[in-house]
Amino acid sequence: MRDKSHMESVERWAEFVRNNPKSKWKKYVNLLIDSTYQKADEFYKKLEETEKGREILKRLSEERKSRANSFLVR
Amino acid sequence: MERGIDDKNILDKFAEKFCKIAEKHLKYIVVSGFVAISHGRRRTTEDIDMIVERISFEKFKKFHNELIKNGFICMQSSKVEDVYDYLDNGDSVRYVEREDLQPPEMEVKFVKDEIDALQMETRKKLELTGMDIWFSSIEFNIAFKEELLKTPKDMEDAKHLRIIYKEEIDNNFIEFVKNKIRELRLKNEG
Repeated sequence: MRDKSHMESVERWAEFVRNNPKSKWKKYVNLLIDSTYQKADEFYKKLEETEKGREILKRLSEERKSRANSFLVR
Repeated sequence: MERGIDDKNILDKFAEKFCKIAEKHLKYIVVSGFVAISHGRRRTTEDIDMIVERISFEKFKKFHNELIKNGFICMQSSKVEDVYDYLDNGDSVRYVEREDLQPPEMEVKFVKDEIDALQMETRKKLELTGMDIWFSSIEFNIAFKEELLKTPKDMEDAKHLRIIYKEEIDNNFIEFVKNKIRELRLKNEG
């Protein structure tokens, strides 16, 4: 599924990490991680605004609870 | 975190800017991980996957040149002829917006078979994402993740989308797509 441009990209990033101090490459990692969490927060906030959205939130919460329970049972 | 001028996260800003340009030149869809992330999956990605219709070199050149004019850089080559060759040979090309070539990246590839063509035909704007972007349908994304990609991350993405769209999903269509995947993408694999 992944083609050569993906591997080139992985190699380029690894080179960047190898050749730069952590303080530099960590900034990029944090930016990406922060933006995806920010994106998720925005999505859930928007769901709270509608009936349909609140229903989805309820389903997601039930799924999380059932997953947590299945860990406890093990 | 330092927020942008319009308060949008960098992934959304990057995706919307790229898609706005794409919209002017060709038919496209955004697929896979970014679809899940746009529905609240708390995981990261370095790249956004885009499939575009197969177009002539002349048409592509106009699209590529507008991307460059707007600050995008193609990682594979600065020569549009080389970039087109990549795509024409079935490989993807990647565009970034930063001069230091760091992510996020838009991974672009041409439609490659009947499944991609059908994804393109049934593309949707997904209201819940709040984004003005064409996505492949939820059914397609679930089918690909459950039948072809199958990593734990993909299976979790699919489950997440199944929960969100529980009442709207067309399971028969997911099965139809899975059959097509088996027929066209998996038939030559052991």
